[in-house]
Amino acid sequence: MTKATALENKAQSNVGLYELMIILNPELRESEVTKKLGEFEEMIAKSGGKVTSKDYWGKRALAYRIKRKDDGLYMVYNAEMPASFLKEIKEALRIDKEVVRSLVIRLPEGHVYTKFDLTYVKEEPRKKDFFVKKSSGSMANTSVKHSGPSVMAKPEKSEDKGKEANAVDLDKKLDAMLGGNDLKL
Amino acid sequence: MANIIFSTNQKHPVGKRRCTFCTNQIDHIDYKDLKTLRLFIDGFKRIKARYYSGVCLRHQKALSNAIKLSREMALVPFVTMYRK
Ligand SMILES: [Zn+2]
Repeated sequence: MTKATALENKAQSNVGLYELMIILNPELRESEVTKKLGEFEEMIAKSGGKVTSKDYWGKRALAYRIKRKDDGLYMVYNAEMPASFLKEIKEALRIDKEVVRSLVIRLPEGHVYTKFDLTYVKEEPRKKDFFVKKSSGSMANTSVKHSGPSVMAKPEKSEDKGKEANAVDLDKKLDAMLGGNDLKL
Repeated sequence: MANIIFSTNQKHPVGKRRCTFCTNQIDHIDYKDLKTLRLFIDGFKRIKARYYSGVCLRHQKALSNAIKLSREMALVPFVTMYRK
């Protein structure tokens, strides 16, 4: 009895819950992606495992360049697989040319797949904007600062600005005035 | 794990800092949970020291494993800058 139960336990322990994350080549078409993923699912099914959850993230920017690629198609599987099958699928993932990178990890028992907010990752390109914004902001600040100390002499400055703005008109007027004066004299 | 309570622990003395994972009762730190991981990553994308974040040793080890996994899968960068 005890031996039998022990054997049963062993057989049960051989089947574990695993997570597969696959990053596919972003240049693949949708049909090719479904075909590729179908192959892996078939492999899992053939080995006697079953996929418990699927999560397709779609195209996503990589944090760094891998194999001259800046993006990747992310797919996450949770699957119950026999331990003996791991070597096989890891090898298959490694050999496949369309797989940019892959990961197979063991999950704790009773793990429930949770979807996480990956929205913040879209913020990363903001960094460039951030610097631009910051610089523009600083520029604005400097302009404000310039106007700050000149608050006392604000009316004068505004008048000057007005004069500058209408410089052409004023020049014309002055020319006319001066011309008129010259003529009068 | 959706909204974890996070304090930088900076106001408290070293002895009174509390682990965020212990207080939120998180057993399994997921490498895909980037919102949580980001709190423990430096401006230079390095893993923050336990001294600053107040994470307990057990969780720090799990956390560092999670961050390393997400680095491997290009979810989190290894370094701040990389040249094309
Ligand atoms: Zn802890």
